[in-house]
Amino acid sequence: MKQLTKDGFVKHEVAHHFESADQEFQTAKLGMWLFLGQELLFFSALFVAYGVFRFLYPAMFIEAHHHLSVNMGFLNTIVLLISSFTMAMAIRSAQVSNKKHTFVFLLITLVCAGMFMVVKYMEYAEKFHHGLLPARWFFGEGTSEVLHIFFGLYFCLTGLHGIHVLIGMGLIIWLLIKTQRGEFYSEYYTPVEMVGLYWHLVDLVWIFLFPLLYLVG
Amino acid sequence: MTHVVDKRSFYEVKKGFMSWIITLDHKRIGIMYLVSVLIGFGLGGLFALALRLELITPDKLFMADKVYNQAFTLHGVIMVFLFIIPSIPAAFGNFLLPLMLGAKDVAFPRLNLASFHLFLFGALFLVLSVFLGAVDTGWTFYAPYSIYTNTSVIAAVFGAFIMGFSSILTGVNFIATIHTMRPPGMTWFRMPLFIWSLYATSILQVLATPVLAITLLLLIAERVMNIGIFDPALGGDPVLFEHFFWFYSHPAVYIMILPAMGVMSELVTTFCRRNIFGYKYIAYSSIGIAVISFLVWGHHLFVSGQSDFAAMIFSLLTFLVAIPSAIKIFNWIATMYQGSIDPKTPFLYFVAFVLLFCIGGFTGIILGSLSLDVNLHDTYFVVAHFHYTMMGGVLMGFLGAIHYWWPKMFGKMYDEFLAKIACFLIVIGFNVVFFPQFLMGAKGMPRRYHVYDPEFQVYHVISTVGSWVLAVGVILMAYYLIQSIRKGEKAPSNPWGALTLE
Amino acid sequence: MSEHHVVPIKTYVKTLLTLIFLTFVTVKIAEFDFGDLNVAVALFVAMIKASVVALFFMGLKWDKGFNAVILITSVIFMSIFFLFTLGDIETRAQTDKVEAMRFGINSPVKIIGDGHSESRSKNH
Ligand SMILES: [Cu+2]
Repeated sequence: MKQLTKDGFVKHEVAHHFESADQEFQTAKLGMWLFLGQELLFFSALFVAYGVFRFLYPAMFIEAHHHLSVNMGFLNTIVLLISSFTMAMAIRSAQVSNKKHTFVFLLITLVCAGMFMVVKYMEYAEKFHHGLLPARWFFGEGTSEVLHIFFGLYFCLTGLHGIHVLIGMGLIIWLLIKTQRGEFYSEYYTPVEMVGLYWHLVDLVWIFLFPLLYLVG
Repeated sequence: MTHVVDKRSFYEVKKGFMSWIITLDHKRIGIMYLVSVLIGFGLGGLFALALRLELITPDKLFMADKVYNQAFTLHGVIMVFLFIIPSIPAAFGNFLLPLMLGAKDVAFPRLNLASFHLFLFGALFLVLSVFLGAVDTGWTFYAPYSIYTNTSVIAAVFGAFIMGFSSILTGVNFIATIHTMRPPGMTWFRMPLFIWSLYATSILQVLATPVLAITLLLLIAERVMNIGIFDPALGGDPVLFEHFFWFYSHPAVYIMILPAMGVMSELVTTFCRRNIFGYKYIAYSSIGIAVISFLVWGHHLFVSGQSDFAAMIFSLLTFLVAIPSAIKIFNWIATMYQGSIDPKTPFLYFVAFVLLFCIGGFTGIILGSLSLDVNLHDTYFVVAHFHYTMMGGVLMGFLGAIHYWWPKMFGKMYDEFLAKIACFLIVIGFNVVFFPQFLMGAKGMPRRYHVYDPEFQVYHVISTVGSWVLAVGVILMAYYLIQSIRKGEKAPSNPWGALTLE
Repeated sequence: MSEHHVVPIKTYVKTLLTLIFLTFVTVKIAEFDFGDLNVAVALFVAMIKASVVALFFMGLKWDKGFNAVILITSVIFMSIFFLFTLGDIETRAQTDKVEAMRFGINSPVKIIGDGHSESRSKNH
């Protein structure tokens, strides 16, 4: 039987191998940061590939980026920034034991993530339509013969980022359920904090993708 | 030095298959890793024996060309991903890290179990790939051949990708454990050196392995949708694949060797009855090796079409690795000085390690120098070099660790006399296998060749005979270790008079 | 746990506004041509944005120092990866040239495809 706190939250039990709730929290956070470091290196190879081919084929990159819609990219950047803000607010609400606000802010974050994916879907559909795809399916028109490399990279970068967004959405849904059950309050909000860090990282990656893919000419 | 947990209790609290496969106990997870890597070692060893047997004649003996390519690829992939990388950190690290620190468990026990399951899952894919048409690219999966070969590259690469995540998560877990789970009094510079080496290993696992993961993912993307970045026919650059691959795989060499070095630091103190000489230098040199290992990957690309400028820089930086490695060797030898040496089996493995690793290290310097490497690249000299470091280094460390912590892990003593004989057979067999390979490599015998010039046959014959001696040693070891579990005498709590907490 | 720093809402709002402002800057700045520095300028603004996210949204400003160390270390190793690989690619044309000139070797391993000659013809 789970114990309840006097405010009606589910009381958190510290795992047996930790001395205190604070140690447990700091350890989880450290682990999460290490995981984020890992994520950065994971994305890094794609950025290196971007740098290499940009150096080798500068004219092709300038041509290719005109095929991307700056407006869509801009819209998605703003959407993600707002979702990062609401995520931070959700954590803050959990810190002050405000269940209702936590739920609402998480929900807005989820909606923003959904919007991001919808815009992404529209962009992808357009690329598919014009045949601006990796070499196997490429039938787009352009002056450069290696245009497919840009779109190979584009789909790897945005695809991998998109998968991260989808995973983030799943995690936020999980948080919503737990919030509804009243598991997060000022003494325990570790999962919200962890997913929050992950979500900000997804935002961070996009902050670099937007200028590199959509803007730099 | 008080450790209150009854050391056999973790076998007896629960029984049955399920109690193991879903356990959160770091000791049980360690044992399961140990069993898995031993199976991996056995499998990889069988492939090695088959390869050696095939090479006893200059022409085809019993393997077709393609089968030979698949066999050496599987030997490499299995030994690297199923045995060497997880061997010491995952098996002994999991078992010993919390005990040595004085913590109750690793920081994230569930994550720990998840890493083990990922490891099994990845291994499953590797096994699957064998039945779908075993890979014939060599364990390095070099593009563009790996993009076009019709063997099951995707399954094998996906298996390695999953095992990479197992390794990353173990690294995350260990770093978090070492940072936050130390009880008061266990300061950074009181930690056993084995833990320092695990710490350095974990840094590498967290920072380097993700690059392997993305590289393998890109290779899959290249095969599935021809993204074109590694494929010269599409305007890509195959050398870029080698950059990506070795950015991980050179540090990976230290993921393998650092834990073995940590084991050596423990062995030498225990069996010489002396405190380690230059504790801080050994600790720092582990971190130093970890950092430098990220700066040298280009020495694998000297003849791949890398620019002269880059090759020069990488060659220069490669020499730097020798410094922290030498610091360790000097300190171990200084520790032995005037110690009362007790030549038990684990100590014999220590001696073997120092000897063989020095040979491996010095030949590494030869290969790191640009002009020599151009001649020796892709010859048996390279094969001998990395077997001296990987097998002479890591395997000796692993065997030393098994013999040293066997009483702790299984509560039984093994037959010391047979253990010594097995140790001699293994070390002598090993040298007979690989020393001739230096000679024929220097004379120009290329690696990975199935059919070769009869001029080299004598070396190959010696080498193959050595592999049998080695095999007899390993089988003897398996025999007395199994015997010890079945009817060995009960081990005292501290059979070697060690000073560490476990 | 109660001693955890609760950040005022105002700080988060200001952070968001700063980031949106910087996004506009990113877009506007891309309209100018800085020649070879285009990417560097774009990266510079992105770096500032990323630091703002890390410091305020991710709370590094109030956090244990070691978490920042992890982030910085990762960035350093990313840069090593980037610089060394690019260092090779950027100097490779030179190697190919020397080989062709001095030994008459036209290295079979250099990048083929039209793009390569495109970047070369630009250099000479
Ligand atoms: Cu190397």
